[in-house]
Parts: sequence; C-alpha cells; structure tokens
Amino acid sequence: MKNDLERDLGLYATVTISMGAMIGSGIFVLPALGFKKAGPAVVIAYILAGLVVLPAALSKAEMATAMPESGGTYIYIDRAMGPLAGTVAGIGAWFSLVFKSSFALVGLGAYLLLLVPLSGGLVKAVALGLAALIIILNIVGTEQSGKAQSIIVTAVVVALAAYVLNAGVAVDATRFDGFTQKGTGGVVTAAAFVFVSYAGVTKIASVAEEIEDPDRNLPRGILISMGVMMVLYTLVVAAVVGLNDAKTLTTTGPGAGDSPSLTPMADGAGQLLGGVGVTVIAVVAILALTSMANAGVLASSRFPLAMSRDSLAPGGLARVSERFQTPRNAILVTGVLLLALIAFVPVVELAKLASAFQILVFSIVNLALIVFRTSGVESYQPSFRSPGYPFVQLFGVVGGFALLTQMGILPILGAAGIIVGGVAWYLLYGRSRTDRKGALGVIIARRRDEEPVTSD
Amino acid sequence: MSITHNVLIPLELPDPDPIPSVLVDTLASMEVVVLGHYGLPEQTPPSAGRNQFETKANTELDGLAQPLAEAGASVTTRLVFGKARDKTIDRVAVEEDCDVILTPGQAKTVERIVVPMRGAENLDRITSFVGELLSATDASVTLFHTSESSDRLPGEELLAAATDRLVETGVAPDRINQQLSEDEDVERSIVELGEDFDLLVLGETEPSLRDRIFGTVPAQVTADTEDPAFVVRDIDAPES
Repeated sequence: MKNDLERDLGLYATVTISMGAMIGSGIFVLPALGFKKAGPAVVIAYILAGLVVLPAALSKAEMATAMPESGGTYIYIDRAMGPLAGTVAGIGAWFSLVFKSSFALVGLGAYLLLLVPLSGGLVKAVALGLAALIIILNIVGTEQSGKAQSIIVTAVVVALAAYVLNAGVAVDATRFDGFTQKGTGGVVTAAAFVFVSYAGVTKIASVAEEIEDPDRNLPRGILISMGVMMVLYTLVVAAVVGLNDAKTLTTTGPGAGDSPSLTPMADGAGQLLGGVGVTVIAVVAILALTSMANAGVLASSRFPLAMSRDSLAPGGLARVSERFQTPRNAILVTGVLLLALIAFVPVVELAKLASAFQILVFSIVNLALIVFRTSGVESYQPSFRSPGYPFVQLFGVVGGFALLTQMGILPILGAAGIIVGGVAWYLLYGRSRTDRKGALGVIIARRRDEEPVTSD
Repeated sequence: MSITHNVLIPLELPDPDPIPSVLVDTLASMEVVVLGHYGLPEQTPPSAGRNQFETKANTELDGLAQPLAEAGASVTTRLVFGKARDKTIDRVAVEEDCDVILTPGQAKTVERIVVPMRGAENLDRITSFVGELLSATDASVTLFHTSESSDRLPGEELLAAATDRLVETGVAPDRINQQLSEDEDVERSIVELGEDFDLLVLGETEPSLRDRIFGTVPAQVTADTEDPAFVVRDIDAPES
C-alpha cells in the first residue's frame, strides 16, 4: 500500500506546529504559580524545565520516524516495553493531557471574568460550561481547528512580543531584588511545576512522518522551537515579574485568600496600559487557552482509542460513530474525566498533577528509546536518530525524577497512583487479552539464551 | 503529436452522487482513476476510520466505477481516508500520472462545451484533451477569453491558435465557436458562462498570491458551478 502521508512540512511549519502546541496555560496562567515557589528566579525555572523536556522530545521524534502510527507516546512505550508499561504510560499520558486541558479551562474562566463582571466564585462554573462546549464540538467533529490554532498562535506571539517591548519601559528593576531568596530548591520545584509548559514540543513527533528531510528538520525544529519558547517564556515571565507587585501575583487568585493569581499576564497589562491592556490580553489569552483546551481534548482522546485498538481497553472506545464519524466513546470518556477534574480537583493541584504525570511519561519515553536501541529489533528503523544517545536520554530520565522528587507529596502520590492503577488495570483487563512482548521482551529472551538458567 | 490523457475523478465518500451517465460516455476511451476520498473530522485518526469503513467504502467505490469500466474505460480505483481533501487530490494526481481532474457535478447532456482560455501555456494539452472530448461526443465547443486575463498573446490570436490546433486534431471547424469578453471579473464571467453550457474545460494556473488567499480560478469556478468541470493540469511545465 502506498504511503498515505506526504512529506510537505518544512522547517518553518515544523517550528510553528511545535510552538502552537506549547503556547497556552504555560504563559498565561502558570507564571504566578511559579513565582510563588521561586520568587523572581521563576525565570530560571522556565529554562531548567525546558532543558529537562528536550531529551524526551528528541527521543519521541526518533521513535515517531520508526513507527508512523497515531497513538504517539503510548504506542512507542507499548512497543518498546510491552503492554504493562504501555498501559501505565497510556493512562498517565491521557490523565496528564486532560489535566492540562482542565487547567487551561480554569485559567480561561479566570480571564473571561476580567471581561465580564461576575463574581470570582464563578470561575469553576464557567470552566465547566466551556468544557462541555468543547466536548460537544469534538464529538460533532471539526475540520479546521488546526488551522485556526496556527493563526491564533501567530497572533499570540505578536501580542506577547508587544507586551515584552512595552514592559521594557515600565519594568521596575527593584522587583527582581531577592532573586535568590527562595534558593535552589524553590527554583527546582517551580521548574517541575511549569514543566507542562513545554510538553507541546512532542507534538512534532506526531507529525514526524509529514516532515520533509527529517534527519535535518526534526532535530532543528525541536531545538529551534524549544529555543524560541525558552527565550519567549524568559522575557514574558520577566516582564510579568517586573510589572507586578509580588503581592498581586501571589494573592489575587480566586477562592481562598492566599491563592496565586490565575491571570498574571493581565495583571501585568493593567500596570502597563490600564483597562485597555487588560482587555486585549484577556482576549488573546481566551483565544489561546480555548484553542489549547480544544487541541488537548482532541489529542487526549487518542490514548483510550489507541489502547482499545490494542485490546488494552474495551473495544467500544475505538469505535468511530457512524453519525458523526468521530470516535465518540473515546471523546466522551475523556470529557467525563475533564468535567470531573474541573469540578472536584483544586486548580493548583491540577497544574501540579499535569506536570507530574508528564514528567513520569517523558522519563519512560527516554527509557523506551534506550530499550529500542539496545534490543536491535529488526522492525525498528528510525529515519532520524537522536543525537547524543544515550547520554541525552539518561539526562532526561535522571532530570525528570529529580524534578518529580521536588514536587511535594501529592504529585508524587499521584504519579505512584497512576503506576499502581495502570498495573492493576493491566492485570485485571489487559493481560488476558494480549500477548505482545515489546522490544524489552527481545532483550530478556536474548539474556536467557546467553546465560542458561542453572536449576537447583 | 499525440498526448494520452489520464483522468482523475475525485469523489467524496460516503454517499457521493454518481458520475452522470453522459460523462461516462465521454470518458469511455480514456484511462480513468476514480479516487474515493473518505472525509474524516480531525478527531478521527485515518487508520481508525479505515479499519471500520474500508469494506463498505470499497463496495461503494467499485459501484461508482463500474459504469465506467462497462463503457470501456480502463479504470483504477484509489481509496483514501483523511481530512485534507484538496491535498489528497493533488497528491494522487501526481502519483497516478493524471493530467486531467474532473469535478463531476450535474449534467443531463453534453452538447455545448466551453473552454475559458487564459494564455498560451499548456495550450497543447488543453486542445488535445478538448479534441478527444469532441471526438467522443457530438458537442460543439466555445473557446472563450476575457481580455483581463491575457498574458503576452492578444485574445484573438490565442483563440485563433487554439482553433487551429483543434482543427489539426480532426475537429470540424463548424463545431468551434470563439467568444471574447471585456468583463473584468474572470471567475464570475466563467461561472455565468457555465449557465449557457453543459461542461467546462479549464487550464490549471500557477497560483498567484491572490490565488493562495482566495483559491485559484479553477478551484473557485469548480466550487461555484453545478456543471461538470475538467481541469487540465500543466504537467509539462518545469517544477517551480
């Protein structure tokens, strides 16, 4: 059968796709949360987080060129380490993306309230309503939301650039005093916190098969988009820090008296241009966050779908609705989780858990690449090979776990919970229905052959 | 000088309109590729769609291609699942070496064919294809030119040159009409023309900046007219 994809994405398209997937809650909502942990050094936290994400992006890109199946992370880990690890990673990646979407929606609700005079307690209700709308949109099916997203991204980048330029005049340098007051620990915690800001870079992997000259454009696309975003985050976050009173950032959130602001960009704009600035930034934020939440629902519904096709989840989840021609059941399950998270989990925990699961999954992605390379299975023929192997991957794994340990007890429990839950689900459901081994199985089998088991 | 033509017929699955039977007759002596494009929303991975709908879609596609094969055309079918319809059509046209793309539309008869001409490029292929259509039918052809769309060659000369080529391929001169228009709006006048004719043959054009924003003239015309439209690709032109 002829390949149904055409390689027509150049370097520029690759970079914009990647940036489009990254811009969202990381810039519009998270800076204040990170500021609370790290003080002005939150700027450093953004750079650190980017460095730890990079290896996973390279690993994922390499595996994507060897396995052009949709399903992404889950498929790579399943094929590398077998269905048990696949189940854990699939559920982890699914939860992480849904967390990210729900967090984006809560932030979106907060920005919306800046435009419409309603009480702060309504943020959750607004977020729930928007979530329901996005779920319905996805079930009915959309044609052009990808295109809309790339237009929105361009607009957002322009707006951010203008924001930073304007801020250059108004920044109060004394606000960077106490840069080191929260210490290294605070910076690492903040980095773990904002980790999810870069998760979108792996979107490149999902279009890897469409990128022309992948050996050259894949690593460049990843490095350039990461580089640009690191600079952008650094400047914007520096502007936010410089424009705002520390108190505004850390205490003006909805609900309890000391919760951090969910609209740091608008707080900054208010300092800069008054009411008009707030309105403009709020509109830009709403557009970016809507598009991010929508893309998140679309992408996360692929995980239950792919697992279902591999018999690791009930078969109905892979069914495409005759009426809408969308995988309705997979979207519904994702939607129910989304609504439940918004309704029952506090916002800050949403952000933490999204990052924690992402760090966990990215660490496993790096391990999966090492497994593939070590196993030397015939079917693994990537057209792009990650530079710096295996040191880059090892850095990614170690760095990821280092961040994870700094996140406090709940995210660690959450990550452990996903692992335990994934294993339990596999034992109860998947194990009896699948007999795949993965590349890891090949390595283990080879070891057994080399070292005959001594019986005693 | 003989050019062989390979016609691509893209159909939107599921439940497409059948290819009008008068068109089937005009295609009887040609090579035809019937492309079933099964449109899926962004939410659905093409592989999942293929898994579930492939059998049904293939049956549908074969049913649509059958009249063509029965009429004597040599038919290939392709089935593609995805969302980028236009991109798929372009890609399959290149892969299958198709130089003409047909948008089937509605037609009860093929008596009056209109050929809006823009310039001298691709003239050989267009006239050769029109010649073949005329030999398969009793239709008359009107060569049409609007002054605004001219490059280098004046309209009268262009139409005269095209007429000569057609006569060379064996078309009786009394079946060929010429029409010059002063209208500025090329697409609108072509679409209006379509109301007086049964079938359009258009040359593919290099997209200009304006085209990239609003769509090329052939793309707009085929979108606006109910008539069947053949778009002749400029495959002899060097790759830009």
